[in-house]
Amino acid sequence: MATNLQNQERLPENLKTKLALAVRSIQWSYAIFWSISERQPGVLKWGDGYYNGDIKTRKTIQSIELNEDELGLQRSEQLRELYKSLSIGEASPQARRPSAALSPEDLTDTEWYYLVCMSFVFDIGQGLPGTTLANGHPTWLCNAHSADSKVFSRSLLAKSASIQTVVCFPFMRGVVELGVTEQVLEDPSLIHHIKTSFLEIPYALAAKNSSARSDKELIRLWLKDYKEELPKCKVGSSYPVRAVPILKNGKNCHQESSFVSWKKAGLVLTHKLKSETQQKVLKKILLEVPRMHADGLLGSPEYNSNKVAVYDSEINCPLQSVRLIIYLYWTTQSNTFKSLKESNKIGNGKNSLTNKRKAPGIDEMEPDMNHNVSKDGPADNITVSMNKEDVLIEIKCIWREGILLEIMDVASHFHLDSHSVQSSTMDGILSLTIKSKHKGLNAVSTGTIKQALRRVAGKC
Amino acid sequence: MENSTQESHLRSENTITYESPYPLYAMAISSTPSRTNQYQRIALGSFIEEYNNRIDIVSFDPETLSVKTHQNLSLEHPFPPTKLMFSPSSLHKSNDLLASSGDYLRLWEVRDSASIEPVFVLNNSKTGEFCAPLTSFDWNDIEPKRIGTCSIDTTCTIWDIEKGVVETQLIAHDKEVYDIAWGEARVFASVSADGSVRIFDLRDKEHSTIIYESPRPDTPLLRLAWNKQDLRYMATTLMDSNKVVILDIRSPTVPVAELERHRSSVNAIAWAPQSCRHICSAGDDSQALIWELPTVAGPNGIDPMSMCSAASEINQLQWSAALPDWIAIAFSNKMQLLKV
Repeated sequence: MATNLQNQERLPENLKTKLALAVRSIQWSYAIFWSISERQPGVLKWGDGYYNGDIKTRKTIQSIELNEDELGLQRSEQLRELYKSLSIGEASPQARRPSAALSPEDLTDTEWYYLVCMSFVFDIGQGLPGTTLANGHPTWLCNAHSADSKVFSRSLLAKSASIQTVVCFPFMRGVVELGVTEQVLEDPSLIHHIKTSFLEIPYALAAKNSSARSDKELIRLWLKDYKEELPKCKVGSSYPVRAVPILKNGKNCHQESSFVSWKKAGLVLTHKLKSETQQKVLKKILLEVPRMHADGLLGSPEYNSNKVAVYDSEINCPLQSVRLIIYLYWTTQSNTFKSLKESNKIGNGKNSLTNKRKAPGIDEMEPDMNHNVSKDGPADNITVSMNKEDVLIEIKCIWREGILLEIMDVASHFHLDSHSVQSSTMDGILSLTIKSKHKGLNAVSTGTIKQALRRVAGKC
Repeated sequence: MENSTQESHLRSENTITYESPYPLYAMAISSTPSRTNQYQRIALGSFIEEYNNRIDIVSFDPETLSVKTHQNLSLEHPFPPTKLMFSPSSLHKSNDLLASSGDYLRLWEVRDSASIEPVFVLNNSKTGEFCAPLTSFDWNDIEPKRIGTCSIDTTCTIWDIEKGVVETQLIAHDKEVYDIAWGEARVFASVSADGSVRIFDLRDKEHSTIIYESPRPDTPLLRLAWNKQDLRYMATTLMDSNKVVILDIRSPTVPVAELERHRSSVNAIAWAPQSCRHICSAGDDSQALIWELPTVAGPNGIDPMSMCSAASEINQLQWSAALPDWIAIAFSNKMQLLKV
């Protein structure tokens, strides 16, 4: 660490920040500063760097909220840490890496290139940085990936990382190197721009900001002052997150993720939240489908105004006795006993294990299904028959709103405990069959019941 | 004896899409890969608002990135199945079992792409009375003979599927119960239209613990997911809400986090099977978001880590331990597999 500190003192002020701003403004992949080694004056080695290319897996300590600038700096620091731990690791293999640190599999090829660069040293006159320093003027290398290794010793590395253009120019007591994964034609003005805008900072600002400011604050300051001059910089937002560390399984690494980094832009609650029905399918699954099973009842009361469903007797029906399901199935068009047909289907499963759900009395009602409703018969037709305790009521009358409940009211008035009710409506005529048990203390005649029912049925 | 007929796969970018002839809702991924091939079975339940519905089983091959249908692995189901689930890997059976909920809890045995045979139809009405339909169920990983079902009649029923009988039935809530999730062998939680998340322990059936209640009284809670990697955490969603509420069972009533970045209501949630801090949610805004839960949340709330957009409202989401690199979503009549 001692040599590192020494190195730091020799490096220009806030170098990393400057490199960061420089490479981000031109949207290149990395910036490295090669500095002349303290101990070996004729040798260039890694001074500092900033990585700005594609990353693979992000590893951060989540307790700290980082903005994009900070994330970039952190990434470069993490890469440096990884390099250090790998080089230490060769000496002492037990070195443990903290959980938020990167491991080799978290890196893209370009990041690997950047990391391996940290291990390079150049004699003056050797390699790209070495020659640049020797010549004293910038070197622009296109097709870095296919360059002669005598000119560019890292050309093979560059090939694997898809680095295509590398530029070096002398700066202070070293060489600044910039690289990018695209082919960029030689442009001296770019080098000039970088030098003047970022690297040779105004003295005043430098003096003011000497040790008090951290890199992060400096970047913010810079961006504030230089925003107009900076070309549009899309940092961070365009990185496709190829995989997430914790979630990767190791297999099928070649498959790209379907997910992209989340972008905050466009976070507006859509109108949908207010106007249209939300969670349509989910609500139907939870609220309506279970009710569909209530022996073929198609829909809940709110579902369709044409269909009236009263199926939970304990709440809606005045009868308090045995659990009873009343079917009211009415359409203006058809006369199908759809509800009963459906319940038959449940019973007729090809599978003998299917349990027939028994609503009380349904099986017994089946024969009645086939009764033809006689259109020519009298509008009111009431039959009450009694056999000991069992009372059977059959009514055919003109349907009107609430008539069924009124009829049931009559039944309960006479202490008739209905255990099965069957009803249907066709062409406005209600056909109702009630099987009940008389539970009252006093005997009651069929005539009395009939009269009461007639009164109800006859009302308009 | 494989009888696979069609191979229908639509791959755009990094998603694999299967187009079904009908709208889909229920979905389940098998917890065991097939012995003969390295493909993964996925069961798809139709959502047709009529009596005749179907359950189809398709095979997904993560190597060739294709989805195959099998003519023989298709079942009829009355009305849309409200949930589908394959037997957990802890149930050491040679063949996959598939369970479905609807009017009853039904179990089928899937015999290696050749056929699918019914095993049980479990109906808890012994007296022939009305059996309340099921909104959801959960298969206990640790005790795989146990399935818990929840119903609109406010009860939760625990089944012993080895014997095919009811183990116990509890009146869990004041209103319809919409979802249920096992935590341990004898502990489960449920959510209801009464707006509460309650935890039940089968060793003490008299008592339950309310660990959360929706802020506006009687806002139904629709979905529940218990983090199997870290049993302290649960996630739930509310009706007509774009929030995913993260709960810590050690601190009841106060959510640990409310994930509020969906642009419309959330329909489905699933914890990551291989990580304790990741959760995925999907909703009416056609987006699937993966969230990483921080140890300390920032002041502006938590942003998702990544997102994926589908063509229309996403109704279903499944993230299985057997296929940890893939998230399956269902929207309109399509099932899509997203690479994580």
